Amino acid sequence: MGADSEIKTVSLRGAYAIDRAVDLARELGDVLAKSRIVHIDLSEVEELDLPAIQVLYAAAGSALARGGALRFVGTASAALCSRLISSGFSIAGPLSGPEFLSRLPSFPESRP
Amino acid sequence: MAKSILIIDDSAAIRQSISYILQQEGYVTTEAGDGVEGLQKLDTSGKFDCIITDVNMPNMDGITFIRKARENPKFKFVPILVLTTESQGAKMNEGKEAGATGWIVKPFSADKLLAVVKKVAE
Amino acid sequence: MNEKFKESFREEADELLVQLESILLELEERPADMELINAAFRAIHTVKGSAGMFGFEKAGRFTHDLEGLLDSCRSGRRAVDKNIINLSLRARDKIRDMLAEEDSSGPFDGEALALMDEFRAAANLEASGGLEDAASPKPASPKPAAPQPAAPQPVPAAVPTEYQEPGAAGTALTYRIRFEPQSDLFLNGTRPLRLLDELAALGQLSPIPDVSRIPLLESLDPEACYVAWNCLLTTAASLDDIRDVFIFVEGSAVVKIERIATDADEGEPGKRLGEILVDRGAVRPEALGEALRSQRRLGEVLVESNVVSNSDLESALAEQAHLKRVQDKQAEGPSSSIRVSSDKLDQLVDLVGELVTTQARLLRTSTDILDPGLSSIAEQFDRLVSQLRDNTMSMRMLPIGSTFNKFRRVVRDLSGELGKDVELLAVGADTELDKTVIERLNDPLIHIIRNSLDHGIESPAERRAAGKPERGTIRLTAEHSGANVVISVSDDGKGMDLQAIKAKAVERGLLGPQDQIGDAEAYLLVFKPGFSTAKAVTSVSGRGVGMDVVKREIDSLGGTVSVESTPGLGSTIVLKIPLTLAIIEGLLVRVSEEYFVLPLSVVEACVELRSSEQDSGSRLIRYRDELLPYVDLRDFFAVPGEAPENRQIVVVNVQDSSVGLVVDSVIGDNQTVIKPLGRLYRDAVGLSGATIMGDGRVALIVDCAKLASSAPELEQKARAS
Repeated sequence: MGADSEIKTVSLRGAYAIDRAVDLARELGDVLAKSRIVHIDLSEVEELDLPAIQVLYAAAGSALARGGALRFVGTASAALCSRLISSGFSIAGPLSGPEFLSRLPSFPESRP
Repeated sequence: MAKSILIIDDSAAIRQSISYILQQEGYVTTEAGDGVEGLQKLDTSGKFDCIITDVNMPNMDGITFIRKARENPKFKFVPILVLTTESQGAKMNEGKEAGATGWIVKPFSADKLLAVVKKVAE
Repeated sequence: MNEKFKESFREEADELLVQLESILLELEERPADMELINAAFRAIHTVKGSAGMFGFEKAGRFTHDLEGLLDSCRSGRRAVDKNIINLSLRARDKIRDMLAEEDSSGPFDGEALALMDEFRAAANLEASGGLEDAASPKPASPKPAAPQPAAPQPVPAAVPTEYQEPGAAGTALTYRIRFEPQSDLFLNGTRPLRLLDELAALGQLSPIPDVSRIPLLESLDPEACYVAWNCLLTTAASLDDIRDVFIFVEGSAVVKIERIATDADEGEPGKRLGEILVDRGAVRPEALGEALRSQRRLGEVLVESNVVSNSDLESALAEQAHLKRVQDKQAEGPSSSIRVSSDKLDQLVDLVGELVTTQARLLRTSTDILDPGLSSIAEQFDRLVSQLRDNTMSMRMLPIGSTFNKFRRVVRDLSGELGKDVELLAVGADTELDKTVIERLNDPLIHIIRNSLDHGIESPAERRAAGKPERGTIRLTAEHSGANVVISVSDDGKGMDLQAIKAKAVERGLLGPQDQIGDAEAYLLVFKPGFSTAKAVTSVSGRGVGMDVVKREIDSLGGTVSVESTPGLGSTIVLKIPLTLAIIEGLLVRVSEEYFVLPLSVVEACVELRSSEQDSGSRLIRYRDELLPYVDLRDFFAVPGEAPENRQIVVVNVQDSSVGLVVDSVIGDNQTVIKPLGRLYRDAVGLSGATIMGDGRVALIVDCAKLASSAPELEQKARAS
């Protein structure tokens, strides 16, 4: 694990519908420009709609391409998980960050 | 929080009955008599979770309304349902092209209306 | 709802018909004026669209035909002439008559039928050269309307015909669904995840998102759709039902739905991965053969040699898994559900309960005897018995949703009565709970919801003033948490006023003026008998009865109640209930020759009671640096016999306060089947039931909450004497 300054935690809050996708992409882009490793804290997330999920995939891909990583921390609530079950992005929660990540199909992930 | 729905139709009877059906299910409704009034409601009200609009209306028709509503960033992604009759296949496509999410075919039952509104607005 | 708006529609239609009349008269003057033709069409169209909505089906169908005529004028297929104007005016009068009829379900009369034929004839005039109508059956124009069913009226061609997939109803079939949205799908307000929710609601869905098209962040358009899905859906719904899910995205997504043969259909053994891949066109049969010759796992080989992509493989594997699941389900058969009377079920539960107790004894005895053979049998038996127990218990489980629905009505009626606007949201309606527990939760939940409505949620005006939406929300949630079900009722009302609660409690003598208590404890004061902070007694919350009933009932269910509240934001009342009532994990204790069971869920610790402490008369012992009140079960239940020198104190924790229970000795864990006490003992204070032990003796189940609440009293008595 690198120095602390390499890790930046982004705490997401509330429901991420499409109207927040552009801002989310911008925010994660800014963080990726400064930190190699990005931790996304899911504890306060109520809902992730498809656009937000796409942003997370894209950001994880970008992090990986730069030799960094995007990981999830905190707990993905049962409500958050349950809304993603029928689209195949999650199983019944609550899930820890790493568990949540492991359920995202083909999520860009750096293997230890 | 209760979902808020804007209903645009030149027929007050249709507007009122749609309002009534939706309110029974806990939706909050706002009514407008044509496209122009509809756009005014978009400006003055904060937010709608779904818009239901008739096509044939005086002053501004539903298709023009949809185009203009989609230009407003606040309503770029809001589900919009078009009220149509089955004889209007072309209008249906025109509505989709203008940015409508779906349609409700008149005449419709309360169940049908609710099913479609739930489908797009949850 | 039809009736409600019928009148308003009638008025509106009358207005439109008056307008139509003047438009038609103007049109007679200027037959080429497109504006006028459009206006006439619009008026008729509106009447037609609404007529059907408000129960004027006959007028609707009639107007539909008139509309067809005007449409042919509007589109230029037919010029407006005297005949058209005449016909339209007559039709207009006819529509007015039809709308005035009380009963609009009757058949068309002769005049209407004649007019409709004339519409068609006039509309076809241009296209057919005026001869076509000879080919259509001659109308029964002069014939008086014979009673005939409404259906066989000339059906406009535009009415969609519904095709029923042959054999689709009833039996579950499996479909492979590819859903590939275009990138601009979001732009018309479509949310693809909700479409998948709809699919999932139709049956058993295995969705595999295909995320391979999501680019890196730098080139991502956050408002474009990149994800596609491969799904398998096993459902009894028809193909049309599946297509209906995607009805609004037809132009903006590729949707492929194909039925796949499951093994159950064809009686074949499970499909192999290779076959699925070939079947889906993801791999050529030759390439498959090559891969199969190597001895490694097929999937790895195929991906490594780039024969199939990772996502193809993933979805093929998912397909394999889905088919297996479906097959397993079908093997169980749809007929495996039978009705059993609940008496029989209760008997079974009783028997299993006794089996469990006996088993516990067997296990203990076998460990005493130290026979390896016996021990292993006992252990195996133990596993089987606990499986049997879980199985039996699950039979009594019902989803709590049915109760939730009842509350919807309560909220609706009450909020009307109170002039408030309140919405009830239910989450976790499919959470399963023992049938008896569900029944007994009904009243407490109604009390809580009423209380939230009455005291929690403010009036619309107050809410507006506080910057909240006028409509308040009560959220009802149920979820499993270990061996418990947690049910919470939260409202977004004004929250509980701690100071007011404390003040009231002092006024009612429930709290000493100098008593310092924590917030959590203070909230629980509202559950005390005789407590009410309502300024005026309302018919809804009554005179402070209610909330103490909640507490009592939840206690008797072995559950706990807690309250959280934030001023201005609302309150949440959380009920934690054990999954089942019939069997509890208990701690078996002995006092003289009597056996008692303490529910293990409340037991905190067992400590020695030294004889030096017993004589102090204070009925307090030191436990973890605190003074703990205790109750002597011997005294409380008047058990005869001398107390032994050294005794045990079982520390139990109920409602966040601890109390010690003095017993002669602690025997150990015990799975206990609860039997209700006989009628004679129903009012016995401090007991909640009885159980029969393995050897046939009876043990009484202690109501710890009751004992705990009486501890302070006993302590004071002891001090006074």
